[in-house]
Order: sequence, then structure tokens, then C-alpha cells
Amino acid sequence: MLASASVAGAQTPARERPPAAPDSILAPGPAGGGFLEWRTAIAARGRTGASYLVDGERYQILVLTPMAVDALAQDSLIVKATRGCQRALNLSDPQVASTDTIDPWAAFDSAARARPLVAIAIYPREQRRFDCHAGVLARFAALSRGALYGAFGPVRAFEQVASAEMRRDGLVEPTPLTGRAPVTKVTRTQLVVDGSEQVRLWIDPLAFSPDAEGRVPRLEVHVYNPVDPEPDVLPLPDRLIRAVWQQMLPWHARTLDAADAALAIPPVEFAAPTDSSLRVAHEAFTRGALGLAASEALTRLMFQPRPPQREIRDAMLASAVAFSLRDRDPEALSLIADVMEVYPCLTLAPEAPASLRDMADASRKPARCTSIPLPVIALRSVIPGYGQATGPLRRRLALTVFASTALTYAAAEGARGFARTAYREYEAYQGGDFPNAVTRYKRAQNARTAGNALTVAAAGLWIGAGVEAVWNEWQHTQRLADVREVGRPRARRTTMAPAIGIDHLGLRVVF
Amino acid sequence: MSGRMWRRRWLACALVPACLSCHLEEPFARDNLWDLDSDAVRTLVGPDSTFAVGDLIHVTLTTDPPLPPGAPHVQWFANEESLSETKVLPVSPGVFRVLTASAAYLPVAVSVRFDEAIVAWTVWVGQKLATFDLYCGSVAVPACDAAPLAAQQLRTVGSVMADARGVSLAHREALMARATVIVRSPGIVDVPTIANVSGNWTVRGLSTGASWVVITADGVRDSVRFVVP
Repeated sequence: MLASASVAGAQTPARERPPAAPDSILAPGPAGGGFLEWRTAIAARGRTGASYLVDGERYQILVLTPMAVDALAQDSLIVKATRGCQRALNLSDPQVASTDTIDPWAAFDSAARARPLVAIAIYPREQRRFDCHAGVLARFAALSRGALYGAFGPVRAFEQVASAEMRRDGLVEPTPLTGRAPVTKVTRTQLVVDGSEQVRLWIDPLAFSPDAEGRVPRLEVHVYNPVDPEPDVLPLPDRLIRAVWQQMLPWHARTLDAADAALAIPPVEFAAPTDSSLRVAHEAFTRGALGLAASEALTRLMFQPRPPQREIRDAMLASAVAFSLRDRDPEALSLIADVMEVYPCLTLAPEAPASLRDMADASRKPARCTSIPLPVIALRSVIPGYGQATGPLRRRLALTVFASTALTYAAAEGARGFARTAYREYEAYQGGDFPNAVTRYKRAQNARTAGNALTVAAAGLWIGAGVEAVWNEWQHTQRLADVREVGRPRARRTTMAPAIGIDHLGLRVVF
Repeated sequence: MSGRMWRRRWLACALVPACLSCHLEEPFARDNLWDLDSDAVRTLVGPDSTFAVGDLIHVTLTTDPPLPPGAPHVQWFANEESLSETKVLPVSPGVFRVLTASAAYLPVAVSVRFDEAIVAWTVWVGQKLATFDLYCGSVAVPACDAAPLAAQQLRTVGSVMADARGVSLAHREALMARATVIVRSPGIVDVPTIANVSGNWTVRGLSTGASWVVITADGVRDSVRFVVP
């Protein structure tokens, strides 16, 4: 019953034409309180928020987070894009300057501004696109306003956007706001508005959230044209979905404290970062202000320059702990999954929430999380490539090393064999034949030189591969040590080391 | 066999041949006799000179490495002087014959060729005077004092010159140039001779008396007596 209602509901709104102007201003909603202020602060801090373009056969889709909408909002960007195409399209200066008036979504953006929503913009594709824009940002800014650059043929109904809907795992996602606006075609010597339209859907960011097992949902945009009953289905790439979800995480983190303002001292501890913003987040985390800590940390990660890799990892783990302690497992899982993708051998301290440790184990990709003693690696490297054959990720390298060394060595042997044969011919030569003795000797000598050079190369490969294997394993060991029981409170950490002196011999234990 | 043992044996089997054959090839020795740039020893030794037409020149070829027996492409030859009357030709490996020569000694390179590599030995080839007879008038009546020589009169003294093999000397002016002429009584006659191809000396009477004219060449001597009335 529920399923049939969903299907029925899926088809009905898709056939309706979106309005040309917003019906009302969207309220922040129960989970959106304070979003406008947060968004404004982010925009004031700097330009961030990436937008993503998906090319279909007849349509193209631009996915815009609220931060991306703000980043692309400047009028100067579309003017910059048009100026980049001015020469190619033979546009006049007034025509270029006039493009700053193209802003068909101003009313819609204003209506949706206070609510955390992701905009999905659908445009007809340019029949012959001119990539003449001055940079990707300017191009996306122009596209977000519906400005298409290139050569255009006659308007054909089956290439127009009539309506659209987004489906998550087959089910239609509700759209708090939809709208349509004209497309401006910037073509040779003119700007044309010929009735082609673009459509936007505003979707709740939760549509991009991973499922309970951390998997990226299957998101599709169904685009209907005015004549065909069947839509064009444009699936959104997993990386795009994950990126959009990650962009919205700082806001989701912001809501942690709103839901429960009580401080909760986390059971885990991370090293103090060197990055100033991450240090603020770290201090907030230490005193139990989990929402603030996660929001600060994740917001910092949105901006350049990137902090050191280790600090990024700790910031993401701390944010995951914050989400987990507030029972927001989907967000925690997505963060953990991202961390585990880079650090598949990472283990959390026993003090970390059990659910978080389970998530880490569930997200763990196959990897070798043990180390091999370096002398063993050195011994194995006696066989070229065997030192590299330490795990599935290095199997190809191991085979490459083995094959290249063996081939080089075989080639060296071949060259030397040829050299010896040529030299025997030289020795047997008794005149009156072609080639003469000088040529025969040079041939033997050249082959010998080539054989020796190849032998040196094979030996170099052999030794180099051995050094690389030892170096790699040493780094691997270091990395393993670095990701073992991450988050363990420092006070409980105990280190032991042999203490050898002139007058003493013992074990040093540091608590 | 345990896995560890198997691995060790496999390792040894893979390594030992690789290590044994993993070496750099030493430079090849360049000792082919037919190689122009080789370090092989090729020397030719023979006589310094020959003295008669028909003489044989025996030269000895020494090589290191040894010359393979019956090596087909070894050519013996002597230089050919087209403007010279001296000719030497190989008759067998290491043996040359003097075909033509003259009293003027010329250096002749007798050589052996290994493709482009040539080994040579230089021999001075000429005719050494072995038979020497002076005469006035005719060979049959050689006496020069049979007819007196007046003062300021010139008389031609002819000569018979042959090498050790009896071949008449060619280019006798060369021999005349190295001959020594002695007038026993210098005031009676003198010998104002210019070297010539015929090998003739000219004697002039100076004052009354008799004198012997002695001519020595290549260690062979002959003399004639003149009377000036």
C-alpha cells in the first residue's frame, strides 16, 4: 500500500510544471534553526563549497550546496565567464557587461536561503559548447544562472527540460522547493532567450546521507521533456554524493549542541593540532562541547590550505566521536568510512564508543595490517620483487619488479651470448670475407657493452627494489604504529624501552 | 619436507645460478691477425740487401698468435716502382726473386698482407759489381798502351761490368759515381770523366811518360797503362 502510494506520488508531481516564482519563503524548519547565520558566517570566512556538474546525453545537472550557491553568487563571475568568451563569440563590451543582470534564481535563492537545502539544477545541453570561460569557477557561476555558451540549433521539444525529480534508491525525494527559469544562450554576437528553460529542485541534504551500513545511496535525477512520457535518468556519481554529504557535515555537526547542550567529556583523546582552527576545535572537544568541536573542525577542513594529514585524520575522528556520542551514527559512519579509506589499518582505542569501533571494523578495507621484520624483507629482496610482495596492493609492483629485473637480466644474458658468438666468429676469421675483422670485433664489443650495461641495470633494479622494499616496510611499520589504538587517553599510555648505560641495564617504563 | 626448508631450497635454486652468471663480461682480446687494429704481433725479417739480378730474398714471418697452417688469405707482394727498373716478385710464401735491378741500389718493400693489415720488410736491391774489365779499342784487344796517347789527346776507356750472376750492370753511372780512379803518375795523364750510362772513362794525355790508371768499384779493381810520347 505504501509502495503503490509512493509510485503514484512519484509520477504525479513530475508531470507538473514547476512554478516560475517561489510560492513562499521557506522557514528554517526544526533542524534548520541558525542555519542562515551559520551560512552567512561561512560565506564571510571565504569562498568554499564546490559545485558538481554531471553531463548527460541531452541534459546537464549542476549540484549546488548552499555554500556553493554563495560562492557562485557574485555578479562579477558571470561577467568574467562572458568576457572569456567575448572574442570567440564576437560579443561587444556592453553585451558582456549586461550579463551581470542574468540572475533568474534570485527570488528562489532568497526563499530557500534560511533552510539547509541542496540545489539540483537541470539544463539542456549545449549542442556545441564553447569552453572559452575564464576558469571553472566562472563557468559554473554562469551555468548556475542558466547562461549557456556556444552554438545552438533550433529549439527542439524533446531536448527541453519540462520537469524533474530526484529519487533515492528508487523512491522520489520530497522537494521543499522547485522552480523553473529561462535559459540565456550566449552565442555568436548575441544573447538569446528563446524559451528554453532550466529547472531547479531543492533537496534536503539528508537525501545524500549514507545508509545504515555506510553505503552511498543510489541517487538519480529523472528529467522529463515536454513530449516524451519517459524521463531521462541521470544517476549521480558516488563521489559526488559523498562530497555533497561531506560539505553539509559541518552544519549537521552544528546541530549537535542544539539538540543537547550538556557537555559530555569524550572518553578518547587526540594530540593537540598545530593548526589554529583545529586547535580551537580540539579544546572544545576536550571540554565536551562536541557540536562546536565537530563543527569547527569540519568547517576548517572546508578551507585551504589543508592542515597536515595526521591532523585531518584526528579532526575527522574527533568529529565522528562527537556524532557517535550524540547518537548520530550516519554522520559518524560517513566520517569513519572516509578515514578508514585512507587508513585501513586504523584501530580505535578501547575507550572509544563500541559502536564507533564496530563502524571502523565494518568499513575496513582489505589491507595488510601487520609488519614484517626488516631483516626478513631484506632477505626476501634477494629474489627481485619478493620484498615487494607483502600484500595485495603491492602485488602488481612485485610482479613488475620481478618481471623487469628478469627481463633485463635475460636481455643482458642474450646480449652477452650474442657478443660471445660474434667474438668466436671474429677469432675464426681468416680474411677475404665480409664483414672484415674490424667490423666483427666492433660488433662483438658493442654487444658486450650492451650486455654489461643491461647487467648493471638489472643489478640496479635488484638492489633498488630491495632498498625500496625495506624502506616501504619501515614506513608501513611507522604508519601502523601511528594508527594503532588512536584516541587512547594519554594519561593511560605506557611506553617501555630498554635502558642501557655504563653502569646499569634495565627497562625504562614511562606512564 | 617442511615449508621452510622448501622455501630455502627454492631460494637457493633461484639465487645460485643468478649469482654465478651475474658478472660483467671482460673486454675481448683483439688478436686476430687479419684485424688492422689488433694487438697481434706480426713481424717480417729478411736480408738487408741483394746484389744481383736473380737473387732470392727469403723473409721470415713471425706472428703471435701463430699463423694458422694453410691460412688462405695471406698475400705476399713487393712494391712496384713503375719508373724504376728494379723489380722484385714473390715466388712462394716468404720468397721473392729479383727480376731486374741496376747498379743504383733502391729500397724495395717486400710485404705480406692480412686483409688491410700489411707487414713489410725493406730490402736494398741493386747490382754489385763482380766482373770488371777495362779496355781500349775492343774487348778482344784491350791494351791501351799499344797506341801512344798524345798530349792533350783524349781516349775512351770502355768497361765490362757484370754482377755475381753475370748479368751486365744497368745504370752504370751509379757505379761510376762510387768508383775510385787512381792515376799512378798524375803528371802524365788525367781522367776528366763524367759518369755515364755506358760506363766509359775518358783519359787525357798531359806530358811525356807512361802511367797506370787504376779503377776500383765495389771492391773489384782493374787497370790500364797509357804511354804519352
